[in-house]
Amino acid sequence: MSQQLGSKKPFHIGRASDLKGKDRVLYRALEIVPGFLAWGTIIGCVLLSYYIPVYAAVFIIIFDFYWLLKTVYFSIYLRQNWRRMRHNQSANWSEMLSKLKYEHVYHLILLPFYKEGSDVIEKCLEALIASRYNKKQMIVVLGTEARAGEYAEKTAADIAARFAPMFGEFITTAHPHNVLGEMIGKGSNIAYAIEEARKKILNIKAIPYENVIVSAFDIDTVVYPDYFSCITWHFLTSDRPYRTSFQPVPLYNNNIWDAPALSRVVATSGTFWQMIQQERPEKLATFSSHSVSFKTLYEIGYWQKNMVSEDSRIFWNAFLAYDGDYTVTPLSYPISMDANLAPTFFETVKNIYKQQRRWGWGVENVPYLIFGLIKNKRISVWKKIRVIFVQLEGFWSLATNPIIIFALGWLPLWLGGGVFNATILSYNLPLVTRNLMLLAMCGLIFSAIISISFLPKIGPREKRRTKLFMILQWILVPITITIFGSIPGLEAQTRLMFGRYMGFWITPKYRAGAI
Amino acid sequence: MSPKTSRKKRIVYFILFAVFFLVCIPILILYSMGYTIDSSTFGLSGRGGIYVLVAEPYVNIYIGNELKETTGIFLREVLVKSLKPKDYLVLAGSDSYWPWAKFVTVLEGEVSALYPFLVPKALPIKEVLKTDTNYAIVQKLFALETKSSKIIPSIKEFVTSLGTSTNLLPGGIATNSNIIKNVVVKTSAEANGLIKKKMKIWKDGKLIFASWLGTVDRIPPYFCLAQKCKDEITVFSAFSPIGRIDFYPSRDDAIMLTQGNGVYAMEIDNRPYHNFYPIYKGKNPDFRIDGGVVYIKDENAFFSVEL
Repeated sequence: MSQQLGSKKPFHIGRASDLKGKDRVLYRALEIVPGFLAWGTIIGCVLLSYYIPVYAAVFIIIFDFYWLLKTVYFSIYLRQNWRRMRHNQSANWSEMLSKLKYEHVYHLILLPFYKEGSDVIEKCLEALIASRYNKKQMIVVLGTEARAGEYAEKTAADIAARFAPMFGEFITTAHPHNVLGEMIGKGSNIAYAIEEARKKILNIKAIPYENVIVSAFDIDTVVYPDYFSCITWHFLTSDRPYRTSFQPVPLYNNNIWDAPALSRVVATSGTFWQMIQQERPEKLATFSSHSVSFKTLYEIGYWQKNMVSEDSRIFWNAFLAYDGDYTVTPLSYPISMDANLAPTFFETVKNIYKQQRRWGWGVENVPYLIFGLIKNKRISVWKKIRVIFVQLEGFWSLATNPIIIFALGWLPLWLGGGVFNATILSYNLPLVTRNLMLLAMCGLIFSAIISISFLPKIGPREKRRTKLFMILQWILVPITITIFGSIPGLEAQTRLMFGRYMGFWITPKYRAGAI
Repeated sequence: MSPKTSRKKRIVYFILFAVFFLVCIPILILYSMGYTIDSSTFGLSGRGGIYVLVAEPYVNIYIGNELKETTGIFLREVLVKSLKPKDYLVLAGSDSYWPWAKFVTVLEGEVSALYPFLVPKALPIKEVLKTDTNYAIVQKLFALETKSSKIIPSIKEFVTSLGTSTNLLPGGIATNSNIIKNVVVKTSAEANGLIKKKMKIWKDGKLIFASWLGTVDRIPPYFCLAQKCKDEITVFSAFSPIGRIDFYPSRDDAIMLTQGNGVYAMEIDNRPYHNFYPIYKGKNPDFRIDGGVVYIKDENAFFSVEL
């Protein structure tokens, strides 16, 4: 406890206007880069199709083939992670843990909420209680927002009254409203909640910071029984437990039988992406619910309070604070969350789009990362290039790849003119594209099988929704990755490019029959 | 604890995929551009293709005397790739239609698109009787002096002499009509030409002309010869004056015309074979087109035929 709070605190920049002088200009330029690359690609495809359609057609064929191989390449990792997840779900973590000295490890669980219903919070806490880990080693912090008013305050009090005795410690916090320099959102709430927990519990009970693992959950997070055993095992067996974050795989099973097909496909696609990344940890950043040691969080000054995507930013904060010596440990163990669901289909569709746009807004980490890497002279150039490339390529792919494949692929035929349309290349372009895409779509069969294996047991209420629909839904992928992948991603990058910064949008939590 | 995919293994995967990508891409591009391995020389050989789109079902399509496809209810097209660059005879026909034939030159890396003009052998010609409800309407149609009927050969600024004749094959296929003879004609007849989409046709005495009003890059191939495209072509040169001309219903690349005692249909594409079909034989016929129906007036009788 000799360290000061934020002793290794990196830049906590939210946007260019937080800086001055040349740094501000540089940061602003970096904010433009992702949008510029995405729009440059799209506009480039249009111009190429009009002026030199042969080149455009060749580019599209190369790109389609690249995309096919990419899907095959990723499906290898998906399969491997699937096997690993199934193994980890069936492993006896309690027994594995019993061979280690683990009684000193505490779990500080942050549960920020705004106006979500008590049923959502209850389900989250019931899962904690049901977990196979000593609840007396759990410190639960239910963090509400002062601006949420009496309703949230009362909900927190009721929940505390019912659940506090079941855990080692249980406190509620109310993040104050209108704090200068803060943005409304999860980051400011959990940063406030964790500091309250430090002062009111850790310091008073003299719990060493290095013995505390912090899990920052969304309020709809439902842990599987061995989550805490699994994470404790990884923490204790890690070579450098204070230089790593622990990332579970988010499944969206809480309400999967109630969610419409669009929502299910988008949610499960997100799960698959996380599973693929779990097999490539050097490309992994923290996402959504994750866990970190308290010691690390304390040193780097907790989560940023002035930006939206704090879940990923905390990783980059640590990465820069420790001069690139920071990783993510993939747990290959699931947690369950809510898929997007609203009372009406249209509202669900709207919410899916907004959620995907918020996730796409993770692109705000790109200028932060590049700026931080430019300023940090202790990280090797090669590592800087690799990290920047992975991030830029990731956001560029998100915003452009489905658009190139499903929309721009036909442009040379429309814009290429009669001369191009008389070439054998113009006749082959749609055939080659179609065949390559059909091959790529074969991978969806594999995706369908994997998604089925993760489904919770079918209840009597969901009898109509047979597993058959869960397989057929995958034909929606070309639509979902374009409308709920590319377009919100592109919108987020365009907003960043033009300095129209996004605020935090809380995904409404709704469960059929709950209201 | 299930082992993670090792970094070494991932590098191996990546290299394997990268090598496969780099090997396949040139093959895929060359294939897409129409190249193939010549079985005799084992070298790269550029190929071309022929694309045929037929509006009618159950039509046999032959390319180079080989049946390539029979159209169906849904499938109405055939694309044959990997053709050696040379001339091919394309035939389309069935028991119900007059045969359609065309010689096309396949060029390396290019596809010749053909849209066969098929006319039924047995046309459902019905007499319009005075008792029929549409009789008065048909009468009115012929009473109207529509634009096409007013095309009168006159005031030629320049006329090129035409020396070739049109030979009709037994099936109605005309051979060796005046092909791509550049005729620069500026007449009032041209000014009164008929326009359908981007195609303009007009007649001048014994000649029928066509010009393309669209962009150069969309010009139909029969306006071009040896990579040189012309503004207008002579579609047909007759021995005797041509009566009325009009576009064939539902097509902008075919013409209907009266000549002597017959009504005929012909395609504008004058490359051999120039396909030419009889529609009606009588004494002194005239016709009007109303939608998809052709009305023929011969002496004092009216007939209708739906095309």
